[in-house]
Amino acid sequence: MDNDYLGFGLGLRIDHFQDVLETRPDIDWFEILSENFMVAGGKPHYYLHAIREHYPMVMHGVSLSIGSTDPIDTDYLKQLKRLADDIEPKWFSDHLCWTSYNHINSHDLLPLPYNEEAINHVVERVKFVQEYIGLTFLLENVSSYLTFTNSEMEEWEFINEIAKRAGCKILLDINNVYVSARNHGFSAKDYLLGIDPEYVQQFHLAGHSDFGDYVIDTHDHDIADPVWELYRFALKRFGQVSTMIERDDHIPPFKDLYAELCIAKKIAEEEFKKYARAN
Amino acid sequence: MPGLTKLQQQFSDYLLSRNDEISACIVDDERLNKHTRLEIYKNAYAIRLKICIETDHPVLGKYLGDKLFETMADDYIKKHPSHCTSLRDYCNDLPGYLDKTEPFTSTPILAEISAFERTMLDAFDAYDDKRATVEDLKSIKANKWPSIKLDFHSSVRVFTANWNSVESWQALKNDHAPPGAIKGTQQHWLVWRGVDLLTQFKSLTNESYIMFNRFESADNYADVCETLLAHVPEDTISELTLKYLFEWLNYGLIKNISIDS
Repeated sequence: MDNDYLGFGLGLRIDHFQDVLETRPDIDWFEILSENFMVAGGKPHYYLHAIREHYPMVMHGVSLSIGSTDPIDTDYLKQLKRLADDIEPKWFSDHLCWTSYNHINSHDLLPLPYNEEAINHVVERVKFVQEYIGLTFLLENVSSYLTFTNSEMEEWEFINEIAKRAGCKILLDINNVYVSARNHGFSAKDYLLGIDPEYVQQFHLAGHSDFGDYVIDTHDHDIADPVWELYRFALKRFGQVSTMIERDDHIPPFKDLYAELCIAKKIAEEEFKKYARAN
Repeated sequence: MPGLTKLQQQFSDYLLSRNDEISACIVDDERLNKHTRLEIYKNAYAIRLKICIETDHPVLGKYLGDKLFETMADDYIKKHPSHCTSLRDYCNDLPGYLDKTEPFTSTPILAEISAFERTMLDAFDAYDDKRATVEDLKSIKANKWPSIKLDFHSSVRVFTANWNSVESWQALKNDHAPPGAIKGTQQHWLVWRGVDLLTQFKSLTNESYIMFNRFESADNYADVCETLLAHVPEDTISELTLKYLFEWLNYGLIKNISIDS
């Protein structure tokens, strides 16, 4: 078994702490939101350690601001390192975006222009962060709602180039590909075909809110049918990739989220059976 | 075309409603114009911060009512761009804002309620210390008692109220109408995270407040008793101090008992 393949996981959320500990569901791994545990102690820490005893974990952050022109927040990085040393995740990830300028934090995943200047900037920072934490770093494609006039390439070319030059991996969010494709009018399949399989180490699946003219990545709904279809396509393109579902709002009972994960597992089994028959 | 730094400055300015220079750098298309695209980000910025205020200060929200809460949240967000890495800290300035900003400054209990909610949050995720037990105290020989010193659990806080803010918080938390705001005698409340990891609070009597303060200032047991002499009859001091020490140990308030050398 590939050491980078963890199977099917879920985002560990506060609402499910007790369920997970009591029922020990048949889930291969959990992804934690790093910032939720960057506190001194208390309930989050207690449950994190108790659940970690039974499941592999990966760390996923929202505040690294890898694309920001502010200096890297070394306090944040120290906390991230402390957490990584504590729970020993298989890898850590954050978004290909920026969140702060001049130390004012938008707490949002803001887009970058897809050009050489941004590539050079991000590559240097990714190298530093990956070296500092001492684990494989995965960059996630974000949902975006606008394009800068000074973008010089497609998003997938931008992310490939950063992964290649920085020596990091890609966390491919299938829902974000769908959301951005709808918002910008490109083909989601072209996006997936453009991503170099060599760098893809994890998939995210999530729900979104469809406003007709545009789609917002809200993580507050079940996974939509077109995203399931895109997931099938991604499986064909990238093969076996560690997959998890992100749910951040209107969080359903654990059993419902688990059932959604079983759908992902079933789709993967179907696609791999088809592949096996064809070969 | 601006470089990356300038682009981020302009984008940030747009989110903070300072100017819309960034719009010149956004691709316009007939599917969705660039202003609508930018507004998606600006709305998300405000909504995210508002949700943070609602989540951290649910009882303050109830006290204010929906309309006034909206006014307060909008103004706080406008005057307080986030400088925090974590949203956990975004409302740290809220008590000070309510204390100094009209129309909230004329209702001082609001600042106190928000400060109480922040104290509870601080206790919730404070550092995990070990907790001393009653047995630890009992194991100390009688001749060493005067030298006893206490270290309190990292979650322990004292909240001082000049108004009936905690009583109002309790009423609203239980979906009851709060009592009218009354400025009374200063009341001290002990706030901490219990052994069950839940945040708790309890009012402090005058003597227990003095005793807590003295121990927290690194006084030993003999010094604490000496201070209490000015407030309670001498023959009640042993019983009183023992009562509080056992209570604090049972609540998990004490991290460590040491002997002053």
